[in-house]
Amino acid sequence: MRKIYHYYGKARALEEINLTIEEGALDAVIGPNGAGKSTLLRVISGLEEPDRGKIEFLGERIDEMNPHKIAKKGIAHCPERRRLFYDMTVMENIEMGAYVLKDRSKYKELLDFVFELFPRLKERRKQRAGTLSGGEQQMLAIARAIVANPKLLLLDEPSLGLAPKVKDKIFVAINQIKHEGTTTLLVEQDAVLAMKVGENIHLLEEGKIEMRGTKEELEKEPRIKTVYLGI
Amino acid sequence: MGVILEVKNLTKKYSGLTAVNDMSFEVHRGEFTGLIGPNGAGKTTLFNLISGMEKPNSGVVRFDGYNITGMKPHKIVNLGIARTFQLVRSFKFMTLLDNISVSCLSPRGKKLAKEYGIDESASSILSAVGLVDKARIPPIILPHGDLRKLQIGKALGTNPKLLLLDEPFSGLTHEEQKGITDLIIKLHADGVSVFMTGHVLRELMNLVPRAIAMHQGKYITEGPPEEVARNKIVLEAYLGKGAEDLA
Repeated sequence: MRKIYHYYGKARALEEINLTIEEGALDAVIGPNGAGKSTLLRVISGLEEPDRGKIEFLGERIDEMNPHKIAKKGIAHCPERRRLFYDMTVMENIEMGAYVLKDRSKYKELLDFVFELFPRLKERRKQRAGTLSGGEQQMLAIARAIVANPKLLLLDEPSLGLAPKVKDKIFVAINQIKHEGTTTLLVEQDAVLAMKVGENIHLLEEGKIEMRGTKEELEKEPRIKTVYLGI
Repeated sequence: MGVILEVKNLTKKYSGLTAVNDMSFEVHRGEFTGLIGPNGAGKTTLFNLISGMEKPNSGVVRFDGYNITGMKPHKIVNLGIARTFQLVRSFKFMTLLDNISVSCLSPRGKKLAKEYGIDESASSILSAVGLVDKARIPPIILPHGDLRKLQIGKALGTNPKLLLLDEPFSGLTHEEQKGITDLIIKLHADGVSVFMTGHVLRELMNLVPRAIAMHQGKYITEGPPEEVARNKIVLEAYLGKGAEDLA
């Protein structure tokens, strides 16, 4: 991303965002409520068209492309608050995620992977998504994104509203996804969790990247607390 | 400086969720207090309980010597509590002056307007909130920052002793936030007790001398913002479990 700006009306949501993600990396964007984290993902997946700037994915401009085309290029967006098809079953939700996939044998392989990652989903595959617990719904949202076999996985706030133990489970899975080699951009308010899995950390404050560095560098940085708590 | 608002063991349950859980605290007359907590902490529910929009399951709210627990909102307004909401609402097609005049017609507002009349009273409020040039304009064509000022103006029309401001900064640009900050400081200096929430903390924590923190419906701590920001549970609530080990 080069010099991305985005506005909602007159309110600036993103300001001069430069972000490069290497293939195979797991980058995490942290920051308090309202910093612009979700907007950042939304401009990548085409749900918002940035007002200025340029986004390239594997060498190709995508910042004016429609979301469905961007999905076909290999970017899967796992949105904030899961956004499942609540009246459909677990299995149907997963199949919806795989609609961009042409190769059905690949689908079988990915399905095995997500069921290995989340055995709970396999047990409940005939259950309606709306009847799952919060943690299971989050697992399903991630599974639905993974079966698209993305080259870049966008995860928006996967810990939101979950109990600490359930959060940990989700983050163990995110770690496994990283080890499988899927390039991932994680957006997360829980800075401690994000820094456990992320290699490169970007701190967002009021639409601007305030600082970035490796996990080790940021752990020593008192500015994180200041950005979150305002003081 | 006596107690103007006392909240004691206040609890509000929804099916399966305790939004406010045994909260107790006090706000003093003339004080300027912040209420902080991450998304979903229960801040707005607490304001709803104080202002009578919702009834608690148990506990007591006392205001200025009266037990106002479970009282209807308009009665609470008549005792001297006014509030603003996170989402701005106004009479979209009426002028700003008329918008304010509506609240000046409340019993406390009328008393205030006795000497100079409703119009005069409403326009002095408009000038206090910095909207007097726009008195003849309807809210529908105004930017968000002006609408927030209008909300505060409408609350002032009822001549409150205690002003509850729910997220007065949300959705505002930097300049607009600054304008609201200046306005709140001015109102407080004029003698109104102010109790305000915010989940975006930069403005709030640098504004109030005392903050009360809540998380998952429960009281956590209170004190000067610098102290509250160092509290272990507050840090965990905002940054995640283990946050105190960060620099």
